[in-house]
Amino acid sequence: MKLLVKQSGLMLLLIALVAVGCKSETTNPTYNANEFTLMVAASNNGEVGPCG
Amino acid sequence: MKGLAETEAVYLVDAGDALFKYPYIAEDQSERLKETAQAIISSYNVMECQVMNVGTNDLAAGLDFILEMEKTARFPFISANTQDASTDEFLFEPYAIIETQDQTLGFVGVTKGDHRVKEFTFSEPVEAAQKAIDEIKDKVDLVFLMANVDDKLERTLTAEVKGIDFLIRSKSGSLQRNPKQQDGTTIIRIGKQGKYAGILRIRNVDPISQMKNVSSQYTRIKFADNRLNAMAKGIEEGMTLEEHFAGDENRLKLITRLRDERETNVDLIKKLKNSYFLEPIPLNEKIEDTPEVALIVKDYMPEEKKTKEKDNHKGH
Repeated sequence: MKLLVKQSGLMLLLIALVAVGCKSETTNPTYNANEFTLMVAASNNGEVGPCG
Repeated sequence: MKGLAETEAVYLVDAGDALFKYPYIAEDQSERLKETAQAIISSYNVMECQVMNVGTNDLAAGLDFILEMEKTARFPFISANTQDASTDEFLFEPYAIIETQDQTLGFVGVTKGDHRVKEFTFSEPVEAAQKAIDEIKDKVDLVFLMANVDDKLERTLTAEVKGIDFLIRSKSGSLQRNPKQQDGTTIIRIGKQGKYAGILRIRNVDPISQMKNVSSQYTRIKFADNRLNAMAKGIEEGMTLEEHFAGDENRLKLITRLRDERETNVDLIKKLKNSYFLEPIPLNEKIEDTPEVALIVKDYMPEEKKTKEKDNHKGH
């Protein structure tokens, strides 16, 4: 049961992580030439849930 | 990481199958699953998602629904080979272009398709991908193929489609921590069920040099950092590790070795013109959430999951 709940929460966790990434771009706009980062999401499979 | 200048530009991209688990949904669960899918799109809007490849499972709720989701989204849906079965019209743009500070990135989407998905047909993915890549290859610095495909089709795509720099897989099953090269294309597999987010850091200085995987160098740097940070815990402010451990010969040797190893790996990465590394981030309880998104998810979360979550918290 615990595992199921934990898995269901993953989507939000991903959201949180990315939101932090996006925020840092706007508040601290320092860039290194020719470098960038992709936050890659794949096969979330419709999982949504609360943060752990 | 200290010593390695880090980029602050982060772009969220989704390779497909974000919205549903299967290519069909049971009638009695339809409303609930659609609400969940809506929550995911709303959250992606907040997260400033840049592009979503429409995977076969994303089409599970039918044509009207996916088009409604596309309207709700503040980012493009792409697919080079998904068609309306009744008209043969291609439903989405085949590609999207993202401009970073100094790079132009091309994202092309394809999906394998499934006969259980109603209202849609799928054109041949190899041909569709090649056509889209040919359209953008002269305008972009790197080409990413977002592929909602199985392993067999992945191999066919890398063997037959020319001009892919990175193939980002969905429907991949398991996470591949160390990306492999296949026919000159780097394959990125992040697994399923949103268990991981893949942080793919890329340095692309020239169009000729080969893209090198520097994941092992980053791992060694991280290891050295962790060891040095652990040793630095609790030492007096302003004091160096060498000063703190002045009388401990073995510890001093270890510090020197870790610093040297770190510097060697940093130099090696800096010397490469084109490099990348993948850091899969497990999305566990250590990751902090964002209040704005937490509210969206809470609103849409199915009742039974809310109950489970409540029970789970009680158990702690």
